[in-house]
Amino acid sequence: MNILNCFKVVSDLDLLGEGDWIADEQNNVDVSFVRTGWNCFDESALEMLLKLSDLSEGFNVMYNLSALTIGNEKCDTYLKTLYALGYQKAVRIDCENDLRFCSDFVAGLIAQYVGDQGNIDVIITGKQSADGENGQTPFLLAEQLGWPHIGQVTMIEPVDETCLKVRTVTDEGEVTQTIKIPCILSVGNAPNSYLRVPTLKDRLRLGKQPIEVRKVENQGAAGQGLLKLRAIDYRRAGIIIEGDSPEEKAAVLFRQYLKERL
Amino acid sequence: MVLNGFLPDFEKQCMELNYFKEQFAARMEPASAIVICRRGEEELIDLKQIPAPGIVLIPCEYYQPEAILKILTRQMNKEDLYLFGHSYGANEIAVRAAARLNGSSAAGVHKIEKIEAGMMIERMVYSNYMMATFLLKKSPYCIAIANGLGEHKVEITYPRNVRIAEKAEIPDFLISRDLHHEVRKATLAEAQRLIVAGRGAGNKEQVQELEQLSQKIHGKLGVSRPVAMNAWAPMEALVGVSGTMTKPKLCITVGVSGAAAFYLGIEKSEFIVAINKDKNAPIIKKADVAIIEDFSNVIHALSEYIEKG
Repeated sequence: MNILNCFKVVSDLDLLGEGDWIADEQNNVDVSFVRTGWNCFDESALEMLLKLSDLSEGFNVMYNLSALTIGNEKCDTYLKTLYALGYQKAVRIDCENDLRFCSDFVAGLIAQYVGDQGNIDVIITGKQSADGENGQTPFLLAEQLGWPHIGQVTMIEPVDETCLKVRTVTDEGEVTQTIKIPCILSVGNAPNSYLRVPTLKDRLRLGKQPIEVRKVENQGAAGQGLLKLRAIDYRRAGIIIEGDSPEEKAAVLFRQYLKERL
Repeated sequence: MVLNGFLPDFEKQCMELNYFKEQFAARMEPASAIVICRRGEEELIDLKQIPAPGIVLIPCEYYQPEAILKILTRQMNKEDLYLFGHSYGANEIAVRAAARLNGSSAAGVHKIEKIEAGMMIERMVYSNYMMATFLLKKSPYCIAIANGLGEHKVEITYPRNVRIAEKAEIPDFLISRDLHHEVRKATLAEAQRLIVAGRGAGNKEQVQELEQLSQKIHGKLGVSRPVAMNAWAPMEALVGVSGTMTKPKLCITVGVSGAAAFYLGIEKSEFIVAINKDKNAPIIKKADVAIIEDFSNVIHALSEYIEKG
């Protein structure tokens, strides 16, 4: 079974200070000075596939895992890590465009790749990315490919060459479904799904495989109607309770602020 | 309005959509509301809260987006505005229905304004640190509202035309489905006192201690995403944009950094206390009062004061 993971590398936005949330005239925000990382939901999806692959032996199913991202060569470090973790193919769609709010365009690029390959059975993504927060790409990908979509996936288990068992958290409750391929899965909050770390040996052995780089023919992604960006001020009084010891501070907290509220 | 009759808090969903409509679309003429409901339970849906001249019920065995979309899009008109709730399922059908009808969609919307060029919408971006204004140009506009904006109760007594659409059939790709446990009405959302554990709580045992403290103050324990991801507490205790939006009278955060995606989940608290050893943690400025300390000694002392009263 050929499974494609689509992930995004994002800046760690929680590291920006209050004064950093400034949009320029083109509605861009400079986030280039903070470290990057896996988009949190995508990270869960990547680990979920590795766990699925770990389980494959007992079910006599082979899972060929590929990973795809869209961006510049800075993403290659992440793709090499995935090679080191056992992904068999790493693909980067080379694109410098501003894709923050272009879910339709992003879904189109993925759909085009899937169409060109012709042998992908399952696509898995995170439910949304940190910067755009559009939460639309998996849905639009399903519409563009005409494939069914299952969201809020928390676990995937093998069944056979044509089916997967997926556990999801729906609005009604926790559900386990057996589904036929092809399908698109998107991952939301999934416990115990931090991506494992490859060994140095695996980095040296597997991490140097070539990354397939595809050029984008249509660079026409527009700003998707973005008119304005403004920072949100969440500040409150922020009074710091002073005292010589934790116990003394706790006493002040209790007497002055909590007693009347308990 | 497109409502999900499968949700346990259907009445709340109606009130939230009513509030949004009253705030931002009061002058628009209401069209028929669409309610997706369980097959055979069409009569059980309380329609009093839906201010629409007509109501279309779409019956389905369970909330299955592929099945629902097929019937839903046949009921929708090209020129209209459709308001959806804030659940994940609502987001999905809003986005996909708009795509099928060549319209526009947005999820987590805080505000809309109809202008000549289209529909202006506001929603949060950049992990909820910024608010963005977009112009959607293509109708129909499928808008899934943000969680926690407000509620407005109505009670319609005049007779309405209620029609049952054809049943949404479960598609073939689903071979089997088992519902393990149903979601109950969220107790965390209603809690008046809340203790929220963050990554700084350190481990599962300390999170359990904080849960005991929450019981002492007759409150509930909530957690931030790293705590839920590490399985130190169940995912249903997650507070924030992707978890529960709370509005307690008192919220005590312990070892929480204060990322915006989390903070939105406690923003409506009347009073916020932050306990954190890092004086530069963003939560300090977002709290009403803060103690800069390792939390364990503070919590033990606080627990004793609470016991003594």
